[in-house]
Amino acid sequence: MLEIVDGHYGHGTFALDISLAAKSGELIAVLGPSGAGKSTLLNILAGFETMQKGHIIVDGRDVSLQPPSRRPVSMVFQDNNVFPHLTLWQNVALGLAPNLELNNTQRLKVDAALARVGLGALASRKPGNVSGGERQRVALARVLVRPTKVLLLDEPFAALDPGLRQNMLALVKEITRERALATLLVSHQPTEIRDAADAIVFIADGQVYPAETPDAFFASPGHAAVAAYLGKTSR
Amino acid sequence: MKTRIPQLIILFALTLGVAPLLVLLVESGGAIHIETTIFSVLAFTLEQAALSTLLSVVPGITVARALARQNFAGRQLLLALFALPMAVPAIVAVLGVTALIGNAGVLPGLISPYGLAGILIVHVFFNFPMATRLFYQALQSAPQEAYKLAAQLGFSESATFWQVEWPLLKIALPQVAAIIFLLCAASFVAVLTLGGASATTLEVAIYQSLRMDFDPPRALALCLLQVALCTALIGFAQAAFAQDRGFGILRATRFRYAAQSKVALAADWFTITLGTVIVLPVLGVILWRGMSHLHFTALTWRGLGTSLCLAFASATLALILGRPLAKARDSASRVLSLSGLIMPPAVLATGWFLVLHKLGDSLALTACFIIALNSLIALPYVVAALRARQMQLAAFANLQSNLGISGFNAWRIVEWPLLRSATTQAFLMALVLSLGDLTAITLLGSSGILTLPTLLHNEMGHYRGADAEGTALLLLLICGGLTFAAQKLGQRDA
Repeated sequence: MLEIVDGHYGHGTFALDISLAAKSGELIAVLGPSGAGKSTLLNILAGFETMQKGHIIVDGRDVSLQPPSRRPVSMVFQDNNVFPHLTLWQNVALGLAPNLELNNTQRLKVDAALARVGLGALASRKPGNVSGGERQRVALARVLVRPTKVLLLDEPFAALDPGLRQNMLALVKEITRERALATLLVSHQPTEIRDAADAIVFIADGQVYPAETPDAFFASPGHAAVAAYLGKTSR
Repeated sequence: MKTRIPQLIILFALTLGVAPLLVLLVESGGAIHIETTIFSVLAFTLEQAALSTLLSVVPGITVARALARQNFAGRQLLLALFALPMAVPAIVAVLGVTALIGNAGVLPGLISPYGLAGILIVHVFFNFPMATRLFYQALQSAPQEAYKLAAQLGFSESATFWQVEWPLLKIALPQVAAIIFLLCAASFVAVLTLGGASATTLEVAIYQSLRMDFDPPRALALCLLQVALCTALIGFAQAAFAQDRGFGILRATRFRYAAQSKVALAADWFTITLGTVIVLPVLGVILWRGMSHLHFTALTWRGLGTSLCLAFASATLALILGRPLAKARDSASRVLSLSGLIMPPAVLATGWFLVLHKLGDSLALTACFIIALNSLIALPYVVAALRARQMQLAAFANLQSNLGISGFNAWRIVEWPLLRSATTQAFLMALVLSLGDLTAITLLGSSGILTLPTLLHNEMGHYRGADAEGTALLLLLICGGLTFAAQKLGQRDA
């Protein structure tokens, strides 16, 4: 579904070697110390950064040279996912028509997406009048109306309470399954995503380590870097 | 209370400006003479201010947007260039405009530099670059995610404008327009030198009714109108001041991800070039023609010496008054720090001039009043420059008291290191404003005091064009150099 083979990204003194494979319907947690390049990996997939070497394959097609808007990729940021002057409904509608001129089918699609994330009743509100968690749901609703195959989440729930974070994580997982997306979620809370994630990708020391199952990752850290990250002394 | 002292000093200064006018009002039996000519003066004041605002704001938005969209190597340099007009003394800009399109100018016969056209050109030269910088700053205040979203959702250029850029510009627009309108409504030097008989604003009419015609009741009526106008505008303009008209560098640049069409690219570059053409020639002509006439006669040295003394004194006074006001958060401090804008120089100077007149025109006293007026003119900028840093300092108050750092140690370890560059910047700004001052000195008027701007004004008045160009260049170099230093400080600080 999603694949990067022998990719390399460099910017100044920062360098990252990237190999990655994700299946559809799979929720992958991206972990690693801060500054390791977790956000960079997401930015590369979304098309905001460009690798010097290697290709990004989505569904058998090379998207490496496509601009962000042409890629079947949606990214949800930690903050500022919604335009403050537009209603929640309009913010979702932007995913279908940047000029906000929607036909009836598209309108129904927006309504359905808002209902799916539990915001049907708040559709006409402005982002300033809803909670932080609800604003992030708007971003997820927008993902639902776009032709997305890869979903990228850059610490999207970092500012939310623990209980709410679990709810949102469950919603992301449901959407990943329903839409058969390949989802990459950057997190700073390894223990919280342990149960939800299907696999864990670890980034440190300028490279992306191959995906492991959460159990394997937490039980026996394969690298000194992982042990240091988790706060376990390596043998 | 430490803030009380500067508050009382400013209140005293304001009272000294208003009281003689009230005395006049009582003496005249409480009647204010409102002749019909006053309304034509008011009408022209509003007309030129409205046109100046329109001609500054619309190109300002266009150029700011083009600059925000095009990331090129010289962008920071161009934005620094756009900060330069703020440092140019009004009389130097007037000379630049006449040297450019006057009868003996580089492009004679294009448009007359006198009357409304000339006033508008000078006002746009000052305010268009300021508007550009303020709008650019507004555009750069968008979170980076907004531009990522725009790229991801495939926004067209117009969608990006309406969904990302316009909401930001819309917030800045009324503030920027109000501050420009206010500055143009109170503009003195440009109107005095280029206006002529028919093109007179309230500010200049106040001066003329008192100094040429000695008609205090008319001056009083004009003052009341002027204060009413400025008070109405200051509410809007205040917000723009909080953003700082200062010399500091602009916010970190935002990256645009969306590819641009060739048409957009060409339009942007056309706009940027056009914007540069508004700013550069006025500065260029002074550099080019002044170069061969740069001279240092005894008069130049005397003017320079006097200018520096007066400027140092008023900048110091502005800092002494401004620091406590920047620190205070009460509305009285806020309003008083803006008093130089609410009560424009001509209004204050009218009362002060009457007091001076009563006390017998002593040179030393006149100099004191000039220093005081200049520091009040500089005060809004000084307070705005200091306030941001002062707020940052306030955030450390709890930590500071927790660690028991107080008194001299607090000043040495925490306050001064944090405030040093902002203080120096504020001082340089006040220095530049006072060095270029022709307003206060003309209004309070003393033929005995010769500064560089008055020297320049005399040379222009006596058709000694070559000398004037040399003096203008000297003033431009000094003020430009100090501004450059202030900018460098801001950069180091950011």
